[in-house]
Amino acid sequence: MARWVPYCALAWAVVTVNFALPRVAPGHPLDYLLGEEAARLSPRQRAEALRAFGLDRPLHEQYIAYVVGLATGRWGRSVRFGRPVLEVIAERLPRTLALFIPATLIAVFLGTVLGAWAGYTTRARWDAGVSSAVLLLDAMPGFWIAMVLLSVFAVELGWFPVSGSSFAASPQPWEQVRRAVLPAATLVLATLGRTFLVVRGAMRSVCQEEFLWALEAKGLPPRAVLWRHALPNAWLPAYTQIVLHLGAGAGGAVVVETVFGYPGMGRALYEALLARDYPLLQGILSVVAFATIVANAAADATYPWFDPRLRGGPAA
Amino acid sequence: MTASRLWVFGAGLWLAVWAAVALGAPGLAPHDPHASVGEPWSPPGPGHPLGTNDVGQDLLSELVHGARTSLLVGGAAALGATGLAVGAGLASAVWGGLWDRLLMRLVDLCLVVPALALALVVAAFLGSGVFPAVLLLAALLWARGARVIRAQALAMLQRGWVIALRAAGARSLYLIRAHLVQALWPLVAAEFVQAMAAALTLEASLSFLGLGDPTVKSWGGMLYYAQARGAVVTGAWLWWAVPPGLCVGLTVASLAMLGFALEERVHPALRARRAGPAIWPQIPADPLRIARGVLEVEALTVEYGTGPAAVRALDGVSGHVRPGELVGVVGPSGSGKSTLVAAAMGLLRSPARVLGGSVCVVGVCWGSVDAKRARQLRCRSIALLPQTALHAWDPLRPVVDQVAEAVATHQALSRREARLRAQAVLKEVGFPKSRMGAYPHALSGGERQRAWLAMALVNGPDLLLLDEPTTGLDVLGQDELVRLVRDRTRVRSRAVVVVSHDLPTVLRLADRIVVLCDGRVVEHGPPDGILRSPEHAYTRRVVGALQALRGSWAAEVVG
Repeated sequence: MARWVPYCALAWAVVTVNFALPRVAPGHPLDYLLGEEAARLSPRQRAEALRAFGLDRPLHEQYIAYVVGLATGRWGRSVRFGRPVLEVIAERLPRTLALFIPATLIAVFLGTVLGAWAGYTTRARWDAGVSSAVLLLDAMPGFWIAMVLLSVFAVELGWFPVSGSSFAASPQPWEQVRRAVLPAATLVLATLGRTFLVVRGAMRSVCQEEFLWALEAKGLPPRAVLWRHALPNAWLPAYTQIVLHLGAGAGGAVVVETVFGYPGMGRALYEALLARDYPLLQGILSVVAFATIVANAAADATYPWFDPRLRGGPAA
Repeated sequence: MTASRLWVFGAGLWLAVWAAVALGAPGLAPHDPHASVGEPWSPPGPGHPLGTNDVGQDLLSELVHGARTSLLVGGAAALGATGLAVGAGLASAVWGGLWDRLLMRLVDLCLVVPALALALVVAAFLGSGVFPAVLLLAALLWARGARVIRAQALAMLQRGWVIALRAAGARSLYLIRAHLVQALWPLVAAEFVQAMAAALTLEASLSFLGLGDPTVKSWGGMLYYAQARGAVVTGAWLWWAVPPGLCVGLTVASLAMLGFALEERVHPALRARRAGPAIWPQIPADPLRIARGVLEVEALTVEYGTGPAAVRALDGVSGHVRPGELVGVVGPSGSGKSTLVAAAMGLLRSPARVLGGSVCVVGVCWGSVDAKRARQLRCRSIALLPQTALHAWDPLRPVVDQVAEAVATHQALSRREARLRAQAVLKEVGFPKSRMGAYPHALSGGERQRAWLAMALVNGPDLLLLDEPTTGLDVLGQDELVRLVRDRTRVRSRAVVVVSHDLPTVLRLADRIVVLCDGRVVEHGPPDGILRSPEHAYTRRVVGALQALRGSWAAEVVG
């Protein structure tokens, strides 16, 4: 139960920050809620608008109304897109997930395999080579990897389309996949280092455990020791991190989506920010916060699948 | 991370060079980075080693001046973050209680917030200046360090000398000032460089998204313009986008490398790697050789390490075990017993080196077989009950699966058959039927020991090697084990070797006893002979002590 406290606190903090942002930022909240139209309103229209948004009521009533609205799906209209916020999110979220989930799974797979091997091998030079290469890759900014991939594979070689901005207009599924390849590759390259480092470190400490030597005394070949026994143990510390990372992915990868013009959540967040589109910004931040909480719950709930010691039952 | 010295040196050099460049930027840059000094879009050439951008500013000068902003923002943010982390971590560890719980909840919260999304939103409000960026990044990056420093400080507070100081009335602040800070500084330094690496990346990302200060040059800002002006779709990306990107990446990588090296200073265990197998002297396989027993050890000499620091663990040890025998090997700690066991299994690890001699199992010598054949011998021809049998289980698999795995590795059986075989042998050694599906953590020490015995016996080995089999068992458990070995092992295994410092147990079991001392065989013979007329000084002392113990015990009970 105590584990839940920080995440409920997070949800509450995000909701409250969302509520406060347009009210404490310089300028009048109406400017943010209506954009440029706000300047053209007559005094009477202004008063009406204030009433319509509930801004004439005391602050605590506004707060309650805001929370209730959030819970009941009244998330307001996006200024930038001129459509309900929920509609924009419903359009962008699946695109981001379609990019992010496969990319993360591939990155986790590669990072795990390389990290497990590098932590297990007795050949120090091979380990140093692979680890340095991954460390270097991990240090490169994601947007820079995106720029280089775009320049080389889209512009110079012409294998992929240069921009994904016409993504929605493109009818063929195959074309959509083609447009997603480079952004996905960027995400894989930019995030596999994280899994690699965690798994490699965990593998190192598993290798110090008694049972590993005993497995060799059983006559198991090294690959069975590594993949069947050492890796599942080394993977436990990485697991929670990976699930939480997936949760954070609901916010989209801002820089990667921006470089490729990929119309996902991250790009929407960036556009909302540039346009000071508060309703949309609030909506996206709420989604990110809730996804984080869900991911945490999922990590907590599924961890015992991998670790029998946490499944309860009598212990000696 | 294996922070090999060369890499750490390279990382330090890279950082030192850029720090110097950042300091001397106005003098070093060939041009004013804000002035149009050349043709727009010119490729690298004389006068402009990296070419110019879309308004004719010199890219090399931009890069040199950009180092100032990037390193300044990164360094200052890291300094702030580390300061916060040290304060919060130490306060949490030293004062504990409610203060600790609140701070750690806050840390949890900060760690789950997606940093870039939050940074974007806040940066959009705070405006684009160097100072707000530093504040923002410090506020985002302190949490990880606070947790690490708290954990290490707590570990230190548990150490004897700190507890003694506290008992002597030392105040918390004195403890922090005089002892903890000094002991923690490598960790604090590691946190600093790691925070700086994260701050550099975040700063570059913010600048790249156009949220940096447009009036100062920075690496991320250069990449923003390269992207915004379309350098990516022309060839100009090679000299416009690649150098600042490499600068960010290599600087972050250098910082990470230094961070790992510092972390290893705090936790030397991080440096440990799985040791490779020790090399045996090659012995040509001799088909005409006649085995004198299931285990033959000939003049075996093993050392750990090289040069003057080398330690000789075994010095010309010889002996053999015939079929049907139960041989005991006794000796004090450090007499070479564990080395002998590892050598018998062919599992010596570097830094152990076999200087000479041989070990042969059922006539096959470890130096003369390939890795595959060697694996086939283990657990089939020679099976081991390890000293750490209580802890030598994979915690994630039921015990019965692990026993069945030993069957399946060596015998061509279906999964079901292997499992049935495993269950049968487990039952034979008295493993309770109701616990068959249990995981290791749910079993008692005695049950885990029995299950290991079952695993060692399940393939009907020619030789069973028991390494300190009574360790960790109470007197009743020891008694049960002795009876088990006497009754069951002879049925399943052709010969048994018990290696132990526990002379009474070995006396009860063995047909023949070998006494090992300082890596040499100092005595061998039947138990009666050893008990009656011990020859070597060590044996005499142990036997004497044993008899004195028995005498006083008998006197107490009878008298």
